[in-house]
Parts: sequence; C-alpha cells; structure tokens
Amino acid sequence: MIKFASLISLLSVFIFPLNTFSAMSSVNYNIFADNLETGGGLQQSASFNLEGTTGESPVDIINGSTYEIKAGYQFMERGSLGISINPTSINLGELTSNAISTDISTIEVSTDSETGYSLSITAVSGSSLTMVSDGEVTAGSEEYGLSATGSDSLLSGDVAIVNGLLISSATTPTYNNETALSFKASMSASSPAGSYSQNLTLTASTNF
Amino acid sequence: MKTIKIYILGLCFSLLFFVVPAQAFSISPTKVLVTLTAGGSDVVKMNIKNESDQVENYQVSIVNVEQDDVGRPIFNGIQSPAMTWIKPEENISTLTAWENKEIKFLIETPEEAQAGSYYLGLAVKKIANTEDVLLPNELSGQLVSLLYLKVSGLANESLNIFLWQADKKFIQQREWSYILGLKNQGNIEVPLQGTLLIRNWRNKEIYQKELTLGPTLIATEERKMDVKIKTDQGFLWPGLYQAQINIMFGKSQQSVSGIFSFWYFPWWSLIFVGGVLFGAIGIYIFKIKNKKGKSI
Repeated sequence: MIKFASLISLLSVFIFPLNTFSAMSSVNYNIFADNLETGGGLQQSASFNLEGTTGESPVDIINGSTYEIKAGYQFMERGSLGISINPTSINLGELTSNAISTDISTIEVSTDSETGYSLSITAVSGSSLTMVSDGEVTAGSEEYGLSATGSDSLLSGDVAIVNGLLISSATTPTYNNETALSFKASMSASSPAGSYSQNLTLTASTNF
Repeated sequence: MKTIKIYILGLCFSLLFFVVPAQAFSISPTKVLVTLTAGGSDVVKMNIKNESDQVENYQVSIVNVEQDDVGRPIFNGIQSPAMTWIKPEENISTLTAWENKEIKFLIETPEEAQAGSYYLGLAVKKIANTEDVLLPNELSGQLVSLLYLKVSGLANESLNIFLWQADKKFIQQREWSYILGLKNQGNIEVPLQGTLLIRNWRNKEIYQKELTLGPTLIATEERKMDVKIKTDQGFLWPGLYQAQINIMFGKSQQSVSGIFSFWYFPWWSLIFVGGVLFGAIGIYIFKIKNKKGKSI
C-alpha cells in the first residue's frame, strides 16, 4: 500500500501541474498563470523573507543558444526586468602621470521581454577630470572615461561619461547578460591636485 | 523496490536544491498599457523584488521616454506635462532581503488632456538611504517599466518621409547605400513595414527587398537609418536608376512612398568610356595630321 502511494505521489508531481496550468479571466479578473504545488508558502522573520515552493519538476532556467525556458512557479511573472551591479563603488585610487588607473564594475541584465533591453547612463553628478575625446585614455594625458565589454556592448574604445550614453542593448530575451564597465583615468604633469568623485545612474528598460 | 525509494528520496532532495539565481533587484511588469478617457483615472501596480541578502531602499518616480534613431528608449530628463498625471503611492520604499513588494501608481488624466498616446516610464532606483544622500563614487541601478498611456479620442496615424536619398549621387559599386528619415506626425505609435524597389531607366523593376524598419515608431518621434543593399544578381548597365521606398504603417495600413534617381557608373564603364574618348581623340588627331600632310 505504501509502495503504491509513493508511486502515485511521484506521478502526481509530474502530471498535476501540467494539467492544471492555464490562464483564466473574466470581466472582473485575470489570472494569467496558475500552478498546483505540493507545498511551500511565505515565511518571514526580522531579517528574511522566503517564498518557497515544493512539488514541481522540472524547475529552474534551462537555456541553449537559441532558447530559454523558465520553468516553475517562481518564474510566473508577466514580464520581468532585473539588474545587478557588482561592485557598486568604483575606486581609481591615487593617479600618477605615467600610468592609467582602472577599476571595473560588472552589470548583469535579465529580461524575458521579446524585444530585449537597453542600458544607458541617465544621470551623472559630481566632479571629474577632463573627459576622453580621442577614443583612448592615455598615460601622461589628463583623460577620464569608460569602455565596455560584453556581447551586448555598444561602445567602441574609451568614451566620455555623459548623460544619455547608451552602453549596451539586446533585441532578444536575456539571462544575466554581462557588460563589464571599465572606468579609466590618467593625469598629466600639469593636472591640478584634488579629489574627484562622481555618481552615476545606470538605467535599464525593455525596448519598445 | 529499494531503487524506487532511492529515486523518490533523490527527487525530493533535487526539488529542494533547485534554486533561482540571485540578482540585485527586478521589476514586473516591464510594459504597461493603460487607456483612459480625458478626466479618467486608473491604478497601475508594479512589483519590486529585492534580490539581495540585505535591506535595500528604492526610489520610485516617473520619467519621460523618447526613442533614439533605431527605436531604443531614451530617458533624457525632460519634464513632460503627462508626468504630473501619475503619482506613486510612495516615493521611497524599503524592502527587506528577498522581499517582493507591490507599488501602486495612481493615474489621473486632466479634462483637457489631448487624445493620443503618451510615453512614460515607471522608474525604480536603488538608493543608498531613505534620504537619497549620495555615497561617493556610487553606481546606482534604475529599472524602468514602459507605460503606454492612451487618452481616448480621435487617433491620427500620419507618417512623413522627410529624407530619402543615396549617400552618393554617382554610385560605382554594386553595394548601394541610402539614407531614410521618417517622422511620425500622428498622435499614436505606428508599426512600420517597408519595401524597396529599384528600377532601371526603362522603368523595369530589377530589384525588390522587404525592409526591417525597427520597432514601432512612437508619436512625434523621428527615425533615421541607413538602408544598404547588394545588387549582385545579373548584369547591370550603367545609367540612371530609381530607388522607391513604400512604407505601410499603422493599424489603418496606410502607405507612404518616396522616390529618387541616381546614376550607376561602375569602374569598368568609366574605363570603357575613357578608352572610347581617348580613342576618338586619337583618331581625330590622326585625321587632322593626315589631312595637313596631304595638303602640304
């Protein structure tokens, strides 16, 4: 009897969610996706929130070169866009006239939007050295700028950090697509001594 | 039977250990469409999820959205009157680790609001503290959900081709490049579908291509793009050609066309013409010299 019950529960894990998953709507409501679980729920304390689910299989993100499947309750969102910036603080240290100071931050953007995303700088505040204008920050010259690497990067060479600068873009759904921003600064012998600091806002949205 | 028990146990453990990868924060939905009458109101809900292990503060705001030349959204900091029609229920929101929170935006259109589409962004920005005091050298992430706000009334779909020309008046290569400029003069966004036709001097169609003109062109915006084609099929005579573009746009499927002429002179034709001219001049000189010789 126990063996039989175990087998039934095993089968139900696979079969029930498939049969009961569907969109429902009326004039007054719209349930865009539903799911049947065998457990889980919301748990919280002062320091954490846990939204747990058990009883689904398969779950997680499964991707290949031309597709991405987000399986399971945790991915049931009607369009999502996420960003991760690591680290969020850049330190170029003390500059010398014979070297280029560099620091890197990695931006990851994920979206299930079919139109992809765009990432740009939408606010720049603070003080800086002279912005690079010849495509390359060079040791011995007073120049400051950034370059970007990654499959979605739109930048070529070192560019000035200005409001509205488009950094990266994709035209398909993405999953943690990385763009590494390399901040660079160099000084000349005549650069005035001082402390410089900037704050940048990196804005991501899906494309139209 | 022992195998089945191990399998069931394995399955249970695997269900527990499948986890969602961490991110800093995310929003949902990414696009919102709201249709209202002038003087109407509605509430839009957005979910913010703190996908980090610590308490985070978020600033909620409304931003203006425009399009760049290839149709990507740009946020240029311009204050549009429609931004004042939307108010978030809270401007600063604090989320505990991995908390998912719903934010409401109240949209109220004024009685005098013009019919048409308005493009705005519901923005969520991670900030260092609730006073939004900037930390030095800080990189802040901001996510924007695109809001299509439509005020009901008379919809006008109108598209203007303000630029349609070759990048050169005389073309030598088989790769031809044109510049196309479009302006949406209507009050709603229009999807675009284009066809390029090339005709020779006898008005015979020698080339046709469907063009990808990018995403929907939003109201009042312009788009400029390069159209490149490679006419490497068959022989092409040097001479005068015409490039015509037909664009179907909008839900009303209207069309607009642009046409211009250009000269195609491949290098071999210039060498040929040069050779013929050189030959003709040579024959002419030879004849003159011959004539003078006879007269003496």
